[in-house]
Amino acid sequence: MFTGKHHGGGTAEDACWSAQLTPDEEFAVFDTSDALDILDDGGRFYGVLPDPSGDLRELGTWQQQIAVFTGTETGPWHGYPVWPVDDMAPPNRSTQAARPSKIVFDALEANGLITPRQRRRLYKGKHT
Amino acid sequence: MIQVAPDTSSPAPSEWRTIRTPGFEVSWTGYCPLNEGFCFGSDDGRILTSDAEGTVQHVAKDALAPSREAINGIAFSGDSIAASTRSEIVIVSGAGDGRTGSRFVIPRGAHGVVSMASGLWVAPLGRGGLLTMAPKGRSHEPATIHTIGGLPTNFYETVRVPVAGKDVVACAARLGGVIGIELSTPSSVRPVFSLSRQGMDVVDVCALGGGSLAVAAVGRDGTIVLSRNVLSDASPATVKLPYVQGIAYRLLHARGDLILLTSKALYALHGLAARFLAGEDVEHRVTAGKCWPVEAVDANLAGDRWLLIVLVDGVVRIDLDRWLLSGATHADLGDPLLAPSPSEAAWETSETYSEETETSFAFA
Repeated sequence: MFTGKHHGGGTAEDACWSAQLTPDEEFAVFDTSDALDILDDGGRFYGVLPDPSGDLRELGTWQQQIAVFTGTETGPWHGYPVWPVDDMAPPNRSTQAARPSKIVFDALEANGLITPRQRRRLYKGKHT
Repeated sequence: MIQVAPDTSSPAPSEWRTIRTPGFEVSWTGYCPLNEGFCFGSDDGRILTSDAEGTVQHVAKDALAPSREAINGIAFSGDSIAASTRSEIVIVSGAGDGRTGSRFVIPRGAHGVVSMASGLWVAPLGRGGLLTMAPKGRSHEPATIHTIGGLPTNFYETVRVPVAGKDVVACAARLGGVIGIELSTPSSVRPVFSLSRQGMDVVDVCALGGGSLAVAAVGRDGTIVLSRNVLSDASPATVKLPYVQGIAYRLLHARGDLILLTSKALYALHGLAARFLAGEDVEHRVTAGKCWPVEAVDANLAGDRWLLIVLVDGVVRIDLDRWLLSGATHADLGDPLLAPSPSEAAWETSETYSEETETSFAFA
């Protein structure tokens, strides 16, 4: 589900997809994470978008390189780029997932979506 | 035109040493002033110290960071140590090695942490702003979070600009460019100077030393910008080296050279900083380079002598005395090996004042 909130129609606090990504590319991020079961303990899917050289594309307007997808078995899934650090006060975290957990990075690497170097960079909140 | 290719040979074995830390996956490394050796942070929130030969002196059994997230920055100030992760900033006072003393946890993730000459801690919180906190004995004053009024800013990397009597910090603020803030002025008149350019994603910044306010910063695409004064220079030099490949990670300054780590290689750019500071036209004249192809996670200087490279399976210590002076020599052949900036986009500057919010955190 493509939501306006994460495509510029929300508030300044809402993570937004980069305008450089096509809807197909955005969906491909979810499709791959779904197919490979890149999940955290909360049942949220996480995805990345490697370019042909293996570098990771920027997914968000704040240079985020990972996206999270939330939803239910019956309801529509929607996703947005996820911040690399917990940089907002705790009360503001309630509506969006915080940074992905370590098992997400391990799963991305185990499935060949990122390299060990990229995992190590992303896991400490750095770009790659 | 004479083409000067970078020397792509690996450093001789005598110039580097691999430091292994079994059971301790290094996420960050740098200088440890407590023993004039090295300090390491791990992927699970621990800290390790070694001497300058890489011999381990102390490994913390327990994680310093309660979240057990990867350490992405460590700084020292007096007998206190601060470490940052994606989840928190931890300050331990009263014991520099983190083993004892009071521990204070700020529940904000950061991209790193540095200390200023005055002892002030500074941590970039991404879009959350720039956090500063003054150590005061064993207790702490409230933290201050700086934002720039009306401008969405992504504080990503910070570096102390060492000028006498002042606390000046330079920030790499991604698409927000390079930001300079003088923290030692009263808050009501604390100026902020930013330098940005359409599309330039600034990922790191380093001070050029000599007691000046000069800095160099690097964009994600490897473009380097050199400023004579991070608080006022509106006409920086822009250098796009044709032989630099990969996504830029770190930019460091040592002895007039710039050291650039990318996703593909480590580069020593001979004399680039020194020649810029001497007034040479570095935008159009040759900068000889030296290159070591490597897949590295991070890099840092440790004192004036050592360069530490974090690899996936260990840390390499490079002796700058040997590496920078060996191999390729400074070449300034006057040929346009350095292409002018590929973009005609002009630098934009902004002078404003930071907005500050005081925030208190409970001791953990």
